[in-house]
Amino acid sequence: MFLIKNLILFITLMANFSLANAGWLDLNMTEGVTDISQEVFGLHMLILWICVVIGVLVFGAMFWSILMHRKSKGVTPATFHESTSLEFLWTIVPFVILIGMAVPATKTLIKMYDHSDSEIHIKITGYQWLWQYEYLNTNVSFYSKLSTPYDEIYNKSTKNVNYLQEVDKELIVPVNKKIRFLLTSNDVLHAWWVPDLALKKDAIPGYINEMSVVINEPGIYRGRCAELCGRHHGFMPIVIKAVEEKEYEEWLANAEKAKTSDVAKINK
Amino acid sequence: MKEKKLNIKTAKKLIFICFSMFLFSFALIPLYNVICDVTGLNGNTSNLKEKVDSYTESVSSKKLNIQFISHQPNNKKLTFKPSEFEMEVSPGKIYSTMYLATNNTSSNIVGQAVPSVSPNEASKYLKKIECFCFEEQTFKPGEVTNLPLYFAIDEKMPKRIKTVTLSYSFFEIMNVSKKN
Amino acid sequence: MSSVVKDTHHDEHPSGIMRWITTTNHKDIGTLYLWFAMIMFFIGGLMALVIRSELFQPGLQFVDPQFFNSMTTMHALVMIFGVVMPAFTGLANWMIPIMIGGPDMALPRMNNWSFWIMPFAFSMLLSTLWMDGGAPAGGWTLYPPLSLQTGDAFPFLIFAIHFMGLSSIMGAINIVATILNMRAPGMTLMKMPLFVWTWLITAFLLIAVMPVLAGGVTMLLTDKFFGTSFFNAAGGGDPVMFQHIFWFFGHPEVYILILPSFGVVSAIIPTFARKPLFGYSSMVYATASIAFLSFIVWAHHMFTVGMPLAGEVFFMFATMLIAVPTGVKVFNWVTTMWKGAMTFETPMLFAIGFIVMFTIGGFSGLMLAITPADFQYHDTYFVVAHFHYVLVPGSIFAIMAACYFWLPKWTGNMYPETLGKIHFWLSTFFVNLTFFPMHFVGLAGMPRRIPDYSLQFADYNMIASIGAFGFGFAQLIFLYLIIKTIKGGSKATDQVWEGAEGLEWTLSSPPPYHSFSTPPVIK
Ligand code: HEM
Ligand SMILES: [Cu+2]
Ligand SMILES: [Cu+2]
Repeated sequence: MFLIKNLILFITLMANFSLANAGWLDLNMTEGVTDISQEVFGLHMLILWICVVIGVLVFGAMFWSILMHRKSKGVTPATFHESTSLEFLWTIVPFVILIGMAVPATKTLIKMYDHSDSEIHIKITGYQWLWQYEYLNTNVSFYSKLSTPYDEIYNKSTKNVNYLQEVDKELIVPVNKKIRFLLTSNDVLHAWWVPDLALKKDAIPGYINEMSVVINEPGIYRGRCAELCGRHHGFMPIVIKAVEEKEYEEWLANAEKAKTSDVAKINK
Repeated sequence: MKEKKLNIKTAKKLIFICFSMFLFSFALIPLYNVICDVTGLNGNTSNLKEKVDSYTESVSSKKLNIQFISHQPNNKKLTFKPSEFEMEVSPGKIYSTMYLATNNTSSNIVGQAVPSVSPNEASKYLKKIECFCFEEQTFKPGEVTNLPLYFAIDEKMPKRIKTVTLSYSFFEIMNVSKKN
Repeated sequence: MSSVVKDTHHDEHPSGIMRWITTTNHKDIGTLYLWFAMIMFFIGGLMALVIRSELFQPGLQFVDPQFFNSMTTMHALVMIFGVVMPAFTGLANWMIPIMIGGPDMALPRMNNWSFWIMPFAFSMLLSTLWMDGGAPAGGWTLYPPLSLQTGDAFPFLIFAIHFMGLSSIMGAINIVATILNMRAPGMTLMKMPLFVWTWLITAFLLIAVMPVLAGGVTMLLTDKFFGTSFFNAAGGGDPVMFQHIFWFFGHPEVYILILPSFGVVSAIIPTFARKPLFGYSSMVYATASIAFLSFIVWAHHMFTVGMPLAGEVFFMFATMLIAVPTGVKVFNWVTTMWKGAMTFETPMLFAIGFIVMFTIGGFSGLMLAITPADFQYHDTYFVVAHFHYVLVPGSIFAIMAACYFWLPKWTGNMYPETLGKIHFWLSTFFVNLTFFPMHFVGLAGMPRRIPDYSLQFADYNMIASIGAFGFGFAQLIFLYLIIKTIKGGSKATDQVWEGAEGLEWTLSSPPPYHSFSTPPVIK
């Protein structure tokens, strides 16, 4: 019976998400802040509901027969053990449902693979255990690593809200512009994942991967490395700050200037 | 006893399947490389020199951007950078560009640049006519080396691909004899 | 399980420990496999509890992150190769010769070898825990380049995997030979119990893919020690190539872990529903098509490596397709129950628990197959929830169901029914308490294989940890119950269960040392 309760809990929770998704967000996939991430969320909810409906039907039939068709009720067992039409039906129907699912999924996938007309190109390199960001065609490049103090990790001081999801230097990008990320790694595999952008891709040494995104809303989005990369795999978060275009331009100009004077200093 | 013979016969057949599958796992490597060459599965461009003459005719009017990037594990020892970030190219024509390598140490650096192309499918349309990645490179201490690259884009490059990135990762060969 | 000892005194074979070392008897070897799995189950379980303790709260409390990674890696290797696979092989050894009316396994000498390689392989694997550089910590998937950073343990890991592979291949060859050659006259293929059928198909899967794993790890070994560059970009290799090889083995492997349980459940449900299995032949065909499809879906574990669009779409479609035959099985079981006259002894409870929770795991599998959504699920706790639903209340529950189902046959004694039911309900409660919340933390963004996490995941991790300890302790009941049943209890009849059908129930409980010396007559 626990199962039924669990299932009911699950269904009501899910119903809550789709009706009023505030408050429950930490229990479900994030809707994110890009058109594509919202489509992905839609796909997730669609397949979830399909599963819930099939589940209710199948488990419903099963619990019905568990309740009604027990020996203690004095029933005599039936003897049927075949039905071609029934078996045909439950092969074809799921097949059709799956096609119905595959079509929208493929459409979204095609959109995800379209990187054309990107305006900003950023190279991301995974290191054991930090990230490097290079704004291509500028001289701006920096490393970004975990800034949570050791004391918090080793429970010597209280953990702040952004425990393990804060970095020393955030990746700054503009909103409403197509950004293309080129991904590689310096050592082992890593994966760059920001749920709000529905972006996850492996960083592979010697190879480059690409992905692109248009962020709709300014804000700070947090992600993590999603491919086991050794001892500190759990400690290489990603923080990306999306700002208005003007703010981005200013930031970039300043960063470039700072870099140039740095280089000048070194060369002297 | 007849049964025993039969069992051993069956076992032999199965052991044969087993060995074939073991060999198959090794055959997967060349198989994968062939598939990659044909489909551009992993974005590894073929290391073969392309013939020049096939690219002098029929320059297409469509344009696309090609970007150059680089990666080297230790940038204090070696600076390894493209001379320009982006180029607008027409398929069918031969272009040249350059990578620059500076050895910042006091000893020789030996290694090889490994190319990778994104999007992966573009790799089979990016034809390298002459590339420093074909050979092992030795950089003398303090020296700046120019590394030339001649390439052309095949006219068959799908239209939807408008930007291609060519990346070189430079891997040092540590006093190991030449690999593979 | 080992009670066969007492009625075998008139057979000429060594006694004491030598009996077990030299035995070629299918029941003895089955018993050895099952006890081996039981021991490994507790060792692997202990590792899981180390993991869950560290994850009880945010922050690092008990273990170093490197050791944590060793624990996740070793836990998986132990549970997959040391528990589920040997347990099913044990069941196969015990039951297949009996079910098909044969005297013993086809190749008894080899049978002895295939078991005794296992303890050897696992001593080797477990010994790495004390080595310089620690036990393997690169994940059970062994992805290079990370797995190549393993210290002294590396060659031991590779050879342990070779030996496990060897053992399962030998076991599989034996099973195929037994099923093909040792059937009693009249036992046609389409009359065989489904457990035999599913194992026949599983054995073929094993023979086909274990050598591929062996090849893959051999390449890792030569990459590390002999300067090859199969998976090293610097030398012209590709790390992703390893993933293709691994999952070409790996996806059929997950079906190796589940197909025999389909057989077990297909034996138990009709028995306690007192009604023949619905759709026997469609069950056989569904199993075969699952096995076939399992060879063309491997890259669904690699959606994020950057495959071309066409590849992603192909593997998405193929993966979704596999849900169809899997669904057929579930529908068949439910229809078998429909209009039966059911009773709910412990094996039946475990079998029903299996159907429900395996199906939940199948649903999440279907969700994972949707490539764009998998970008959000991949390598998170959502995947952890998925495969634990199919493996713990899936494979493990099926193994337990099988133990309860056949224990009276094996030992001649009935197990204590109430205790069995308590074991079931506790296990079911705690398994859900452990793994259901993992869906939520995964969706909320918690990656897998991390020793520490940010604060929003804290509540559900705490619940999961409590559940894990509960589940662990509940299994002590299982151990106690089995030992108690072996030692004694009310005598079981030959038929044992009212609705039981099949050759195993025509033998005495416990069965004679040599199962069918004269072939039985098949109706
Ligand atoms: C309806 C059938 C199933 C489907 C559609 C399915 C689908 C998937 C997919 C797409 C993944 C990859 C998720 C990711 O890493 O992003 C996965 C992972 C996994 N599945 Fe399934 N699955 C099914 C049944 C099973 C069964 C029966 C088992 C084993 C008993 C199983 C065991 C696993 C395991 C162990 C993993 C994780 C492997 C790892 O990364 O360590 N699955 N499944
Ligand atoms: Cu990582
Ligand atoms: Cu799979």
